[in-house]
Order: sequence, then structure tokens, then C-alpha cells
Amino acid sequence: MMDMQRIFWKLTGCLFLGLLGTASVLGWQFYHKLEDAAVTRFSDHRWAVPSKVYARPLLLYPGLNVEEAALFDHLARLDYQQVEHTIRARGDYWRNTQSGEVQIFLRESTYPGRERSARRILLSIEQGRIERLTDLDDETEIQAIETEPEVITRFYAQAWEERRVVKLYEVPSLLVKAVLAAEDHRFFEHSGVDWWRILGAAWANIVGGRIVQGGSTLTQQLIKNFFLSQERTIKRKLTEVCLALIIENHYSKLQILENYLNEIYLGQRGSKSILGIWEAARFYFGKAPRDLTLGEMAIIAGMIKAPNRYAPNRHPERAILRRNHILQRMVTLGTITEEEADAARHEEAGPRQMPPEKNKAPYFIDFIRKELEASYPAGTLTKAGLNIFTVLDMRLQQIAREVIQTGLAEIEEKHPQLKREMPEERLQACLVAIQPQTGHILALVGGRDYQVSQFNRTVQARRQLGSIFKPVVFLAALEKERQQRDGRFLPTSLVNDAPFSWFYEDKEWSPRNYKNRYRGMVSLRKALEKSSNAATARIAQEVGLEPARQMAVRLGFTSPLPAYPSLALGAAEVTPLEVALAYSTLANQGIATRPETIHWITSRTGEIIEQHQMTVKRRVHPDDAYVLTHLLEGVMKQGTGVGARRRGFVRPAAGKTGTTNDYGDAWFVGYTPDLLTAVWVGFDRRVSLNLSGAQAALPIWTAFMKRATVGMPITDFSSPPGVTLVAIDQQTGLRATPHCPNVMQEAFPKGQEPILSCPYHSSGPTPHRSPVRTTSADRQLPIPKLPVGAPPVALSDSLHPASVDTPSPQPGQSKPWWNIL
Amino acid sequence: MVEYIVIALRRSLLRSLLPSAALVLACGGLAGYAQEGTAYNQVEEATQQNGRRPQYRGMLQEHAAPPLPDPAVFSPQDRIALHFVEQGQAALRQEDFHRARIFFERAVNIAPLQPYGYYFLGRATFAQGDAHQALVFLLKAELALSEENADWMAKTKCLQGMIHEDSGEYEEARRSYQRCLEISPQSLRAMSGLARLPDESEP
Repeated sequence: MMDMQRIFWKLTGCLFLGLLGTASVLGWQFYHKLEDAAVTRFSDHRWAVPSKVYARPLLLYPGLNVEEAALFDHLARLDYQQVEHTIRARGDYWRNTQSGEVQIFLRESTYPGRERSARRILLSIEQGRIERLTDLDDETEIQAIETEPEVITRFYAQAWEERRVVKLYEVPSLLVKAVLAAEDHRFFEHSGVDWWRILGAAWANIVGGRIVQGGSTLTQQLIKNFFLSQERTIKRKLTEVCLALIIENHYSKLQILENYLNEIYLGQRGSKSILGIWEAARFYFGKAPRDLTLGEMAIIAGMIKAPNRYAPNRHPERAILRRNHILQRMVTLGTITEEEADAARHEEAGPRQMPPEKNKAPYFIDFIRKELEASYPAGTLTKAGLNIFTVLDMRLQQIAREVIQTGLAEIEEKHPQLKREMPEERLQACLVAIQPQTGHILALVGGRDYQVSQFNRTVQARRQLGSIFKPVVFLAALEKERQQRDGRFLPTSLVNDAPFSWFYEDKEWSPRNYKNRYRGMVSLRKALEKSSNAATARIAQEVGLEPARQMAVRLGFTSPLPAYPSLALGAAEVTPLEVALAYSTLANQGIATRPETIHWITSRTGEIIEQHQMTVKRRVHPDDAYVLTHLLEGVMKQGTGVGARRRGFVRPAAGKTGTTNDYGDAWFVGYTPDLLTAVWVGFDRRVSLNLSGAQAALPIWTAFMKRATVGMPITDFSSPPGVTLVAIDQQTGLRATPHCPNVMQEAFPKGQEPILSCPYHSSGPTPHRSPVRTTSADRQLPIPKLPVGAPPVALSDSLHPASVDTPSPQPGQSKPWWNIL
Repeated sequence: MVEYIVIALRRSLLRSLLPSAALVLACGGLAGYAQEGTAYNQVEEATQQNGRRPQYRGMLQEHAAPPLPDPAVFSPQDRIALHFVEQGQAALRQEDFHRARIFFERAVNIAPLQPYGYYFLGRATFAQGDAHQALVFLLKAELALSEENADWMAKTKCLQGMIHEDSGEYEEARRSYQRCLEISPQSLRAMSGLARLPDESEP
């Protein structure tokens, strides 16, 4: 019996030892597996930091009108806080209403090549303009300074997380102490798991009859966030404990603390999670962590327990109670004195003004995102934390958004038949503004409402060009004139604006004018100003379709352009951005600049990854570009674009309206010497608007340009050396005499300016003129006969009415040159 | 009689000396040619290495731009653009062409109708080895310069001449130098440039 008992115990002991051994081996293997996994993941852990897209910064300099530059709107968008007294923290500004001075505590700027530290500056303002800029830190006058660039948006992955990684040395020690006081004051004493605290928490929970206290250390919380789910199970808790011990064994306390401060969840901003203390400080207080006050630090530390419950913007009373609790705890732990805590308790902690979180350039962002996705591996934009510095001007972007909204609303009000019930069927418009000299896309709005339709009409919609293409035909004609110098395509040359048929590849094409109005013989200028279809088609026929098409390609059209006669009148489908780029070559004196949206891209640590420099190419002769611009100025003064002047836009500008045959597309493209804007209006489904470009697109263009050019110097288009401006009589197209009633400056290539003076208005002696050469045009120009005593009339209708027949050549006389057209 | 003797002596002297003088000149010419050949090879070598002929880079340094106009007479935008042009000039002097371009582009961005940014962009891009871009920037400068700004126009034309010359476009170079001399007849750089250019009649 005893033997049996002994054997039993021996077997039991062996079994136990065997099980223990097996458990040890398995436990050891499990521990090492866990250790490997934990260390690997912890070491390789890289936060998914969304890339940020910035707009261009605002440059402040003496002479800048602060209202026109919308300085205070800009500061508000940058999340600057207006304070009532002296500026103390970065992101503060103070407007002295008595002296007009403005003090700004600028945050540091990381704009590549223009990095600067945080600076306190004083703007001395007189009559709305900055008179003097002073650096308050060293009391010196400065020439210029710019604000930090404004974040337009961030590229988020599926989980929208706001995070900026900070180093521990960037975090004030008091904030660290507040966090430790709130969450784990024995952090530097335990080894990952605070057993005493767990016992205390367990006791408190038993006494309370529910979970009233947690026993997790910072390390455990970090482990939970890093690796584990949020489920409350014994298994997860045990794994958490094991991992905490492993991590504590492998990493220093400071490394763990730094990770914790960057990882901790601190609330929501709409659909985005606020992660890490930097984002929390920035979001809740508009400051970097180093600028936080003690009270603000205590609020952030207090939020960790339940971020949305203690968020100061949503529940300020609860946040204050929690803050005071944390402060008291810090006093108890000896981290701060009672006096310091008292001072902090008296700090205001009311809800601050939050800048509206809205992407103001969604179409632009989509556009650059597509560009970037083509060159960066998938996931880079959402995880690598790139800084993408664009050339977008937020002031112009804001104006563009507003004018499209108001412009379309006005059209619908005036023309109720264009209203649609369904949001996605409503009338649409898009606008793109470019600085022609640099190719910078300053504003881009791809539609009426991004929430309704993300279809970016500026780059995705291929729409018929209509009359917007005519200047290309005229430019081809001007180039031909420069090469042949036969006077056929000068601004004063005549072309027959009458119905005709163009036979092409066994087909007949008969261009018709708007409302079937024909003006007979008209100058090239008049043909363009009045956007005459028949006259333009005749010019295209004479110049040749292929040269006109080639000219379009040279100007930057990339969409397929059919080589049919109807191309002359814009029977081709292109994107509005193409139109803007083509016209910007004209505005830039024939020099095409590569369009730019992004200027710099830097890595998360600020290393430059990409820099885009200006790239220029000569596409068109500057003389031709100028003569065409001069003609297009006429469109604004007395042609189809005159509505801009009537609406109060009086700067020197050139432009062209565009309306397609079916009235499905309304365009206006126009430019001053340093800003070009293209506007398109229409329905996504090609439905007739029954409105011309002048009626639908021009008002939007004008509203944009009026506001966009405020404060910019008024400059005229400068003529190149190869072009001469000559005062001509509008009736005859000859040099004006002092007696001519309708005189205008006309641009001619040098050597081809008219020599003869107007014979009709020389009641007095004709002024002496220097010896001149005769151009082919002058030699052949027949002098039209006016009725004796007839009052002076304008060139267009009275001199060459549609009924006036073209003079037929006399026998033996050379064929009048205009008959060629 | 004495006169005759002097003439005879002079003739004999000349007869004896002329061949030796010719010999000396020929040797000197050959040596010079050889030296020139070496220098040419060096230039070619440097061109292949740096993408830019060193003598032209040196010329660029000597080709000082006229002083910038007094900013007081300009609009605020123009004034601030001139400030960035000055900063770019400083970078250019340190041969930091990349940084210089950043300043000049910024000047163009602020005041796109001002010629100075374009002029210096032309210089910087030429120094970086992109003659084509440089010529387009200089064309922009030329178009933006007013007729009264003769000093700058002359400098622009002269620089265009140098770039054309460097690119082997001698006809364009000649036209640019000639235009420079029309504006500024004392331009030594344009004169020497013209003198350097190969004769048109040469095959």
C-alpha cells in the first residue's frame, strides 16, 4: 500500500515536473517570441504621419496694404490669437487701435530656403499701409519678413490621424511632470508594471463595486496603443503585462516616455484623431508645447484619462475641474508649489476660437495629389510626413471660391430656367488663375461644390473651345505676316466678314456669324473684337489649317486638335487648364513657363526632396504675342469683353470671350500683364445655356480680377522693340491727322506701320511727317469713298456695312489684296 | 658715296637677318600654336568636366552688372523685389548659383514685370550650364527693360552675345554684340567679343 502510494506520488511528481518543464519550455518560447515581436515592432515603429500641403506664405514689407493683403484673415487662418495686451507666446498678435500698430509673435518658419526662428515683429501702419517693420527682439528695422506657410490640408490614410512627432527635449519638463502626475507618478520607479498600483486599483474597484480606477502604467498604455486591441479581457491584460516588462527591459525610460507623448490619443477634430501632445497643444491652444502655460499643461495631462470628456473646447467646466485636480496632485507630489498651482488655477480656460477645419482648395489638392501619386510609392503621402509647399495663394483661392458661388447664383437668379433641383445637375463653373511669368497656379476651383461633385473641371472636363480659339488663328496669321511682310495680316488689314463656303476634303463647310450678323469688310482688329466667325474662318483658310493647329500646339494645347476647318472656330475639346496655359504664353510675351503647383517638397525632418525651378521656353515671337495682346485689349475696350469695363474693371487687360455653337459652353479668358484668369461656365451634361461667354463667364472673371488685383501696381503691357505704336484714324486705318475724330493707337511690326495719312479729315494742312517707307498694304490700299459732307463714322458698320460690295478690280489693275481673303 | 655704303650695308643686313627673323617668327608661331592647342585642350577638357568653358565663367565674373536703380523711385513690390535681387547677387558672387536662382525667382514672383530678376536669372542659369534657358531669361529681361535703361540693355545684349558665342552661335553673337555697341559704343566686352568671333567670309 505504501509502495503504491509512493509510486503514485512519484508518478504525480514526475508528471508535475514534466508539465512544469514543458510549461517552462513553452513559456520560454512564448516569451522569446513575444520579445522578438515586441522589440521588432517597437524598434521599427514609425508613426504614420500624414503629409502636409502648404499654401504660399504672406510676405510682409513696407508699403503693403494690410487690408488689401487680408493680413488679419491670413493670421486667423494660421490660427493666430488676438490678445489684448502685449504678445507673449508664439501665435499671439495685438492690434493697437490707438496707434494703429500691430505686434505679431510669428512662429518659426520651415519654408525651404527661408527658414527663420520665431520672431516678435512690430508693424507700424499708416493709412492702412505698413510704414515700417521692426524686429522687436533686437529693435532693428527689417526689409521684409514672411509668415509661416498656411496648411491647406493633410493627406490622411484610412485612419485620419493628426500627429507631429516631437523629441523629448522639445517638451517642457512641467508638461512631462503633469502627465506623470495624472497617469503614472511612479513611472521612473517601476519596471513596466506597478504591482502596488494594481493592488490599489483592484481594492478601489472592489470597494466601489465597479471599475473606478485603472492600474496601467504609461508603458502598459503605450503597449496597448501600439500593439493591442482595446478589448478588456484577461488574456489581453496578461499579454500587456508581459510586453510591458519586455519593453522596459529593452528600452530606457526616456525612450518609452518620448514614444508615449507622441502616441497618446487626445481627442477628435471632426473625423480626425488628435494624437500626441504636440497636436493637442496646437489644436486646443494654438501653441507649441513649449509655449503652454502651467494650466494648459494640466488640462492636456488631465485629458489623457478621457479625452473627449475633458476636452476644453467641448466641456470647459469639466476641463477646469480636471485641471485643478491635476494641479493639486502635482502640488501633493511636490512637482510645483501651491503658489504656482494657484496662479494656474486662475488662468482662463474658456473655449478658444477654433479655425474652421476645412480644405479650402479641394480641387487643387486633388490635382496635386494625382501628380504626386504618379511619382511617389503608394502610402508615402499618407505616412511619410512629407511637407509639400505649393504656390497656391490662399487669398486668391478664397476669392475664386466666392466669385464662383455668387456668380452662378446671380446667373440662376437672372435666368431661372437654368436652375436645377438636383445638386449634381446644377450649373457649374471653374476658374484657374496663373501668374504668366512664373507659371504659378495661384488659384484653382474645379467646380461649384466639392461635396456634391469631385469632378475637377479645370483638368478633367474636356469642353468645346468656341471663340476662345480664334486668337490662335490670328496669331498664326500675324506670324505669317512677320515672315512674309506682305501686309495681309496687319491689325488694320481688311477681311471680308461675309458668308462663304470652305470646301475641304470634298465637304462643304459654311461658317455662320452670331445672330447671322455680317459686317462686310472689316479690319482684323474688328473681326477679333466682334468675334466674327466668317472673318476668322477666312483668315484660317488663308493662313492654312496646319499652321493654325501647330500654333495651338506650340501655345500648349495638348488635347487632340482635329485638322478640320471648324477648328478655326474652336471645334475641339480641351480642358480649361490648357486654355489658361495657352493664353499665359501670350501674356508672357510668347514665352511659355512650365505650370507649377508645387515649389518644394521636404521630408519629415526637413531635408529637401524636390525643388521645382522656373523653366521657360520661347514659343512665339514676342512681337506677334504683343500685337495679338493689343488686339485682345480691344476686345475689352470695345469688343465682346467690354462688360468688364462696365462692371468697373479698368486696368489694362486683354481677353477673349468664348461661346460654342450650341451655347453649351461659356468662356472668358483674360489677363493683365501679371495675372491671367480663365473661367468656364456650363452644365456637366452638355445642355444649352443660351448665354454667351460675355453673359455667363465674364461677370465671374471680372469679379475675381477686381478683387484679386487690389493693391497691385497698375501697369500696361510693354511693347517689344520690334513693334511700333502708331496713332491711326479708326475709319481708314491710316495715320491719324490732328483732325481725325476717332483716333487709336495701333500696334504694327516695325517697318510695316502705315505711312499715308488719313485723307478724309485733313481740313487743315497735313502735318509734316518724316520720310517714310511704303508698306505693301499702303501701296495697295484703295481709299474708300465717303459721301461728301458725311459725318465721321466708325470703321465697323458704317464704313464697311455688310451690304457694301467689295470693289472689283479694274482691268489692268492689280488685284486688290483683300480679295485674296 | 657714304650714303651708298650705308644703303648696301642695310640691304645685306636685312638679307641676312630676314631669314633668321622669319625663322624666329615661325618657331614662335609654332610654339604659340602648340601652347594654344594645349590651352584649347584644357578648355575642352574643362568643358567636358564642368559643362561650361572656364574662360566664360571668368568673363561672367568680370561682366559686372550696372548698379541697381534707386529703390526709392519704385513701388513697394518693386522695392522688395530689388531687395531679393541684391541678396541673389550676393549669392552669385559666392558662386552659389542654386541659392542665387532662388532669390531671383522670388524677385520675379513678387515683381514679374521688373527686368533685373530675369537678367540675373540669365546669368545664374548660364553659370549653371544651361545656355538655352539663360537666353530666354535674358530675352525676358530685354523685353522688360525700357529704352531709357540703356546701361542695362547694353549689358543684357552683351551677355546674350557671350552666351551665343559660347554656344557656337556666332551670327547671333555678332548681332547681340553689335546691338550692344549701338547702345553703348564704349563697351569693351562687346568690342572684344566681336573681335573674337570668326570672320564671316571664312569657310
